[in-house]
Amino acid sequence: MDNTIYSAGSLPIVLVGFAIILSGFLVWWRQDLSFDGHYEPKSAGVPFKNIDIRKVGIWVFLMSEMMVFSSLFSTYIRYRLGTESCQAILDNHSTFSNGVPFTPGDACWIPASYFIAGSHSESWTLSLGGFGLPDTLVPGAINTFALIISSFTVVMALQTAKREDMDADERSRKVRNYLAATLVLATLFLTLKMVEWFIGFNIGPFHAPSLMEDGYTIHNTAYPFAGSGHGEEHLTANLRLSASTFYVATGTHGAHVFGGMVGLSYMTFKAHKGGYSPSNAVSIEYFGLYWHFVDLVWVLVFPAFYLY
Amino acid sequence: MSHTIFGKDAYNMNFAMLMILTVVEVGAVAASVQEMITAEMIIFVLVSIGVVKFLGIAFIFMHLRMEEDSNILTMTALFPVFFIGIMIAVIALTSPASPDSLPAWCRFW
Repeated sequence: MDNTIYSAGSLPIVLVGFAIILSGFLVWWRQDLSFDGHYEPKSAGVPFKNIDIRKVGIWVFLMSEMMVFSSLFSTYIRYRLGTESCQAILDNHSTFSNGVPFTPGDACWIPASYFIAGSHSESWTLSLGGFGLPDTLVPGAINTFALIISSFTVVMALQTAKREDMDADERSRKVRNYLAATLVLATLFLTLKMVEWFIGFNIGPFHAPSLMEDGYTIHNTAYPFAGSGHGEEHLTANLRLSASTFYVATGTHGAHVFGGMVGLSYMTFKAHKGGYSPSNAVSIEYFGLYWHFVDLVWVLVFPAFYLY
Repeated sequence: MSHTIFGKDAYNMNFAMLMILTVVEVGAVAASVQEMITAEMIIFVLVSIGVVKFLGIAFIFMHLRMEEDSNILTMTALFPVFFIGIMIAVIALTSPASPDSLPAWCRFW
């Protein structure tokens, strides 16, 4: 089997892609920096006539983003449906459903949820407040709440920036605080993602190994899967398919969160300088569209990859 | 401009709904782990809640409802759905064995 996971031949295309994205963001940033609300270019053509051109731009961008994440979900569905689950093979006494014997190192599907929300690990406990939640699910669950709260703080920043009945200094301070809270929540999200992937945690009665520690990696071709209901019996499974789809999908989402953090840092600084007023609050709305999209993707990623 | 749902601020109402649904979502998984509900039930719960949360974020937070330009922007957001449908049909379901495990109601034949 070819174990190559990276091809240097594709590097120029990746760099060109990054250059295009970066130049787009620079143009956007330059326009936002000077925007004081007095002139917002409108789209002239049908069907977007008289809609702010930046709003149309962000929606077209989000359309392309939908395609990116759809391709990741398509891949996930394709492999998940097309690869027999390790538990089913174990239940069939180590044969595939077509009767072919399972050979150690064959690919079978162990979903990420087995490690995150399942009962696989000796160290796994049901200790979280007696609610029956696996400790390994805690980072993902907190992240879900963090993203939802961050979506709310962005719309509150927008709502506050639009208020004309508020003193300018107080308004700027509140907008800055809402945006800073969003930034903190985004930082929490990525920090917990690192904890979940690489670090794990061991706090008092709560203990959860990281996914790496559990052996859920894109290189693992010999995972000893014990499943449930089979005592000491186990099979040696190839995890590459399952782990690759999980890390690429959630990693791409994480990269989008990081991109949002870069934008949030700039916006928080701008708000701190009193840069937002009712006349140019739409800039927060346009960023908010991106941020809500990131939240929206997580709404699908969380149940699909973490819970099921 | 402030929109309302049941007389309350739309953003606050949507936020409260999203938080409650997420608590239900995580609670359902806890019930599933302890085998209090079946695998079919947990899939139904997760998909249903996911759809409602998706719509809540898109319609309220992303302003695809209740704004002057909501309709055209909703159509814009839906435009990729056609291609997504093709992608899922052609890529996601092309594994030779995969359609066999699908329930009859979502097969193409």
